[in-house]
Amino acid sequence: MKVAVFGATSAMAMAACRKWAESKAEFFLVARQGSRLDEIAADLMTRGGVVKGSVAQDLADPANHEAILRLMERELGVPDVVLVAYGVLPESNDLSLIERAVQVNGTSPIMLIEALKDRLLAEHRKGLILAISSVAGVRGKASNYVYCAAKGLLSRYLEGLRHAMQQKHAPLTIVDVRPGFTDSPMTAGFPKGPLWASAAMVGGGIADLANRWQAGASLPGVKYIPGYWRWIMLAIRHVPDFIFRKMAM
Amino acid sequence: MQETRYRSWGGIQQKLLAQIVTPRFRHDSLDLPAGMKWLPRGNGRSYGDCALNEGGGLIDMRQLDRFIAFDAESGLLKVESGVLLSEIVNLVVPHGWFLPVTPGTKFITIGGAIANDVHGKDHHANGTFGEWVRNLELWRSNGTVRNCSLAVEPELFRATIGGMGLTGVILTATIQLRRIPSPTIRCHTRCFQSFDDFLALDSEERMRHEMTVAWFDCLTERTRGVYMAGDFVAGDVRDVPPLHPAFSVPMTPPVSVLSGPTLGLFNTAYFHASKRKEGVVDTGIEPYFYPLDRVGHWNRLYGPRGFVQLQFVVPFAAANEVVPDVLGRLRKAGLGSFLAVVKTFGQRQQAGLMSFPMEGVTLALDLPRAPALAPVLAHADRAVREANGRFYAAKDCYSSPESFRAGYPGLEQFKQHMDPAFSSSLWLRLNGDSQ
Repeated sequence: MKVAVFGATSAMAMAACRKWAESKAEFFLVARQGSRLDEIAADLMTRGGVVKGSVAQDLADPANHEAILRLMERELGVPDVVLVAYGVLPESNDLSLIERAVQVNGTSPIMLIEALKDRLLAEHRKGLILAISSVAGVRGKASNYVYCAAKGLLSRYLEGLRHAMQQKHAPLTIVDVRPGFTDSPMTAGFPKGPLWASAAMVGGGIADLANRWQAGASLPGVKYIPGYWRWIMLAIRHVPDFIFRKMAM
Repeated sequence: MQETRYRSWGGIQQKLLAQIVTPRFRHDSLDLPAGMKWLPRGNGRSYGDCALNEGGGLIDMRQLDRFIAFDAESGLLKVESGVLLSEIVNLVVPHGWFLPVTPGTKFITIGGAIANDVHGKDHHANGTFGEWVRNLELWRSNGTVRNCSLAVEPELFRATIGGMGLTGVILTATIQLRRIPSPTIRCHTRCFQSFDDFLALDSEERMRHEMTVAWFDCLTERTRGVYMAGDFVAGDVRDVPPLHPAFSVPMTPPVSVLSGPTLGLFNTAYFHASKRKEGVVDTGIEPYFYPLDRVGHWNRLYGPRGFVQLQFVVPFAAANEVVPDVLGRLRKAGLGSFLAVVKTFGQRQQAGLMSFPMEGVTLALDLPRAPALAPVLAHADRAVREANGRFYAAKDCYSSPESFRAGYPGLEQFKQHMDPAFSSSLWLRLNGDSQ
């Protein structure tokens, strides 16, 4: 299985890659820091994976995407599985942070996936795009509503893309992965409670999705990890606005 | 300072934590805020206070858990120090390799294994874990990373092995694995009726078998027990130990489940069951080396007060006196041990300045905390010191500074290699503030 990972230093992505390495997957890794990519590559290769190439670049700038994708094609080829795992949780809704939050979490992954989609379609074989959104994208709420908006943007895009691929009968599967509260470097400052999952657990769930897809299973368009968030968000989504506005969250 | 839930395996809580630093990538710079002392922490399996740093900071090493390189031909493995032994076993057993030395749990980090210079059932054949470390990279608080081995910086190398994390942060280690013909262990079980029987049996069996250990029932007057010797063989058992426990104790019960009447019943039942199993049987790595690992968080069964692990070693010459004496005191005080393990150590050159094993007999007991325990521990402290023995830092939380000084002749030399920014609760208890 050929896997391209965008945001390879994400804790969830690292956990998913470890699982794929055990099945001897081939990787192309992208993150901002080269030394970190080298450490991850050595780990994956010891576990049985093959890292065909990596590049240290900032994915938040769409101007970088074309060069990154051409390098990916040269070193790995066109992947079977794409994992878009990079994101940022802004500390506040300060005006200076908003544009970057939307850029990193929303507009840049959209542009990346659009560019990838064309390459995958050109191969005329099945492909899988896993993009990590969040339960936060399901409904705007008082805390971190700019982050919610950006993740919502990504989820809405994935929904439309999924619809488009289905209409065209394209062999491209699009999955919107929505983790719940996850203990990771992004959330290091938050107190953790019983609903919190580890990044390793979420990464394992992401790896399972691709493994099942490769074995021929059909995947849901939206996947909540852990699974019980599906029911929590179903309820949250249906709370009428005049009630929701009064709930502290 | 923040409140913390960092505890030792025996239940000692570190109440005041200045800060936690969690390095994620080993080439990132490690910035330790000034104004406090620091201590690296692995998987928290030390029983006593050697992995606690009351009032100071902890460096949580569990995110530095990457493999770096594995040569399946030579058995050389290089890893970051936060990798668990369980992860190593999972990787290397299918290639025909295993850890040359392993303690009774695989849920410890490489850093922890080195810092405590852990030992296993094969000490008389293979020594301690540190004897199999070929190289380590040590971060010091002045920002430098020191490459250490027997050839390069041997003094710092020997200070770090068994150095309880006080010489700096181990970033990576290269270890030499040992070949196994298969993941099958042929286990020979025999019962014995007294401590003298045990010593006689052991003097023969350790010549014939690579791994030896005994369990004994310390509630009975004459120390009956079960002696288990084992060797790796080319057999049919092929299981690789799982990465996680099969099931786990989900929370601490309000009282200890493992004391008093339950203990007596268990010991008697175990002894008679073992008597039926006398003889030879082939078994796998998990049940032979890691029987306790099958139950996650088994330490919670001791209740909220936790328990104390008493482990010491005394030279052979003193063992016939000290071991029955300590056991007798425990019996008279009505304190028993659920798991009483005895083993003999061979004569080896110590891998680390502060390594625990010495030629002689080691006894390890789990003891539920009870008021009657303190005088028995004080007596054991004196008895071990007078017998020229010592206590194991990985388990200790009760021994005296006098015993520490007397038992570890390498102490003064060790102090010269400590990192000035590092300290631990154990170090303060056994040394005061003197460095």
